Amino acid sequence: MFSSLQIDVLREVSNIGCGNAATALSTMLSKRIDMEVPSVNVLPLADTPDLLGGAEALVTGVFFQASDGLSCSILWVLEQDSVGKLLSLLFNIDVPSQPPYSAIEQSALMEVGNILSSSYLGALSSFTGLGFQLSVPALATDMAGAILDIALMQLSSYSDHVLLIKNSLRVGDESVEANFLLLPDTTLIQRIFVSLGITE
Amino acid sequence: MKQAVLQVGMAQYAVGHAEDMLRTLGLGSCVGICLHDPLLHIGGLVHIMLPEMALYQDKANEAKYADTGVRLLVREMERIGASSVRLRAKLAGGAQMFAFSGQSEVMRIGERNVAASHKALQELRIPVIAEHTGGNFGRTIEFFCKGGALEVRTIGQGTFSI
Repeated sequence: MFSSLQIDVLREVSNIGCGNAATALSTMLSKRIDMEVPSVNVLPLADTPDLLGGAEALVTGVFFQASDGLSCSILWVLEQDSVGKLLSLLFNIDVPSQPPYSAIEQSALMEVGNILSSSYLGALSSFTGLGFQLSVPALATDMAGAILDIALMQLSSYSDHVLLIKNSLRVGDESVEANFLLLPDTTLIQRIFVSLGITE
Repeated sequence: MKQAVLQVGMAQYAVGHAEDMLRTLGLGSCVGICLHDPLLHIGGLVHIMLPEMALYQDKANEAKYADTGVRLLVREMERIGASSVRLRAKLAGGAQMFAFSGQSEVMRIGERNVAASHKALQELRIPVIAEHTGGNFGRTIEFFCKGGALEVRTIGQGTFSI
């Protein structure tokens, strides 16, 4: 499906995007942010929930769609410990929040997602010369499998195998881990290769 | 007879009988379509993601779409002796997980999946005797081939037997 060179390129591109998002998060929280090496996965649909700890794992997801150039779906996924900790950092309170989250808390999480997604795509945009329009964020706290459905919808109509890029960010010593899933539309991957002059 | 738990992932299906149990985890906008032949205790479950094959590019996997998924399941159940005139259907899933301002087609996919499942079943004259669909929450379902009971588990909305 993809050559190892192409996979390497996608990994590098996502690393640059994630680096930019990490800088934004670091500025926002005044904390050190650690990044994991991104993984580029080509998986059968049925196996995709495994990337998020299994279909029944309780997670919070913030979902975006990008169009006009860098067309893709973006899903930020956090486990509940990380959500609670992140909220306490944002609001400067000691007691971590539990679901169900208040409207203010949800709005804060969506705004963080918004800033991170924009930074991520911003880096990809200056790198590839492709523009983008980002949708408004949407948030849900539920089973990982259920949250993935919408993100997979577009890609699943083309193939039973999908390409997902996963990045993970960790906030300093705070045990906050945010997973970032990027699901490029089928045409976007080719456009990235073309923009970088990679023909095979 | 030995009991088997058959796990059904996205865009997959399974058929079992007697003591077998068919399970699918974390349905969001997807729909779990369960068919049951009460005489022979044959059960089938398909985990569909999209409403109609004709609308989409990939034509390889029938289990991915409501219309072709229902027909595939009926065919596979008939292969081991079930009769389509005896089949009864139960549905679960079809939620809208994310609330967006401005209801785009994309976000209403759960609703469209449920409607397409009903339509496909109606065309084959298979009655839907129970369903647990819609809402904004995920569902895990377990379908028991012997009695045709369908267990629906949610996070925060409780557990239901339909």
